[in-house]
Amino acid sequence: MAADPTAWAQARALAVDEGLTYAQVSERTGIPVSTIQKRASAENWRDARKGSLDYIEGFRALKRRLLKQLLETEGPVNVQDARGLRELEASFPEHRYGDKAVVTPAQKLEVAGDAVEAIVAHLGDVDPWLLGKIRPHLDAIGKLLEARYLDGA
Amino acid sequence: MDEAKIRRGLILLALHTNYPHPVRDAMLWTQLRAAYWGEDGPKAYGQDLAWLERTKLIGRQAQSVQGRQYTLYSITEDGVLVADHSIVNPGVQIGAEDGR
Repeated sequence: MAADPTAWAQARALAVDEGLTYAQVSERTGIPVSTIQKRASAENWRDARKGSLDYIEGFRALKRRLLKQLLETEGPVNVQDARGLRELEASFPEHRYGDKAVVTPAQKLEVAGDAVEAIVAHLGDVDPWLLGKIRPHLDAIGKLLEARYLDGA
Repeated sequence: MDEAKIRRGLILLALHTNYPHPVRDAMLWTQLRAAYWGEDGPKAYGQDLAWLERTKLIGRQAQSVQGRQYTLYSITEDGVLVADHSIVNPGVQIGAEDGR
C-alpha cells in the first residue's frame, strides 16, 4: 500500500530536520528504505538536509563567537552580550542540536512545543483573528504531540 | 569570524527553506531574532536585509491583506546558489566557518 501524504511529510521531517538515516526513518514510518531512497533522490532531500544543518551551524558559530568575546573581554561583562548568549542558547540549545544520537523523545516534544509557540506568537502579531480560531484547539494539539513523542517512547 | 556575514547567511538559509515562496518580515524576524541581540539588533537586522537586497541575493515586495500592509522577502536565484554552496559570496557565511 502506498504511503499517505502525512507519512511522507513525517519521513521527510525525520530525514531532513532530524538527520535520521533512511533505515531509521523506515523503522519509524513503515515505509520501505528503497522507497524512501527513491523519493529522497527525486526531491533532493540531501540538499535540504544540508541546509538544515548549515542553519544550526550558523547559530552555533554565533554562540561560539559571543562566548569567546565574553571570556576574552577584560573588565565588566557586557550585559547585552550575556543576554544575547542566553537567548541564543535558549533558542538553539546544544543538548538538542549538539548530538542528534542522544535526542530524547522529551527533547523532541520540547522542539515541537517550541514550534507551536512560534506559530502562536507569529499569528498574534499578524493575524489575531486566526489565532482566536486556533486557540481552542491548542490543548488537543499538545496532547497529540505528547502521544506521538512520549507514549511511544 | 564576522557576525554580519553569519547573520546574512542565516537570513538566506531561512528564506531558502521557503523558496520560491516569500516570507513575511515579521515571521523572518521571529525566526532570527535570537541572532540579533542587544539594543542595535533590529537596526543590524535592517542593515543585513538592505545589504542582501542591494546585492540582489534577496527580493522585497509589499502585500496588502484586508487593509493591512506587509513586507515580504524571498530569496533570488543568485541567493539560492549562495545558500546551497554552489557559489561563494565574500559577504555571506553559510554554515560553519570551516565550510562544513
